[in-house]
Amino acid sequence: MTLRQHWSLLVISVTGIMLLISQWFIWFYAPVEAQMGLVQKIFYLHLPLAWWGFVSFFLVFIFSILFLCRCDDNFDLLAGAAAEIGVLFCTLVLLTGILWAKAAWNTWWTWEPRLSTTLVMWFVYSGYLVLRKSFGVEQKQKTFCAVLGILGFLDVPLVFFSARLWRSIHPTVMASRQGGLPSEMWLTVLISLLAWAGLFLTLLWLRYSQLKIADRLDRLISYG
Amino acid sequence: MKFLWLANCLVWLGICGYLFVLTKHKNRITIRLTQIERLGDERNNRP
Repeated sequence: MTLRQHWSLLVISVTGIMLLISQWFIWFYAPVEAQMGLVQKIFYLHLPLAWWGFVSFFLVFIFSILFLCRCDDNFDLLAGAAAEIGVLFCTLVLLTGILWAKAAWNTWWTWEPRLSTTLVMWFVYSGYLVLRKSFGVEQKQKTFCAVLGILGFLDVPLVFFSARLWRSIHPTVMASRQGGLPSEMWLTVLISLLAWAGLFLTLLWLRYSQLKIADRLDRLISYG
Repeated sequence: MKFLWLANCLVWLGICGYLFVLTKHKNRITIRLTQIERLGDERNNRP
């Protein structure tokens, strides 16, 4: 086993353990909310996924700008990897949100600002991924993707502030200091955020490494 | 309770699904690497 493989194994193991700890906090440590009951605990999955989804799209934005400025293909690959994980997290945010909405609002979906802007964001970045896989001229395609990566980010602050800007029934966690949560709930949120940060970084690193190797192989084959 | 279970299952299904895709991608890379190595060997052994 190489040193790199040892590191990979260590990082993956630490992430796994952190996620198990966060699950323990969610199921056994966090108190059951008086009004909503156990369904409220979906929030400990929903919030970290949403936050790291936002971070992914922010990284797509930053790496797209860097790609356009420096024309370094590594930034394009990093943007691609971040977008994939962002779309995955955003999908899971929508799914967990739908379940929470059914329990809390007695409807699977409602066209309120936070939900609608999140769905738009999902479509934008899914489109970005489709664009990455499609059409020919390589450098042109990468430039188009970078431009979409920058323009698509316009929707992200809109999603974040939508619940404050417009009349929304979606709860705002960070509206007051400590989000109005008891300390046990707050600790569970922090542990979950940390655990999902570990998973996010691991997935980003794994995917970027894969894309980089695949890109090198493509070049090797094309040079003959 | 069932909604929390369902949410948990969906989240882990999604993550496992993505890891499955990454593994498939890794296998494809390994196959391509083997092909390139074989091509290189053939070229080196050519008189």
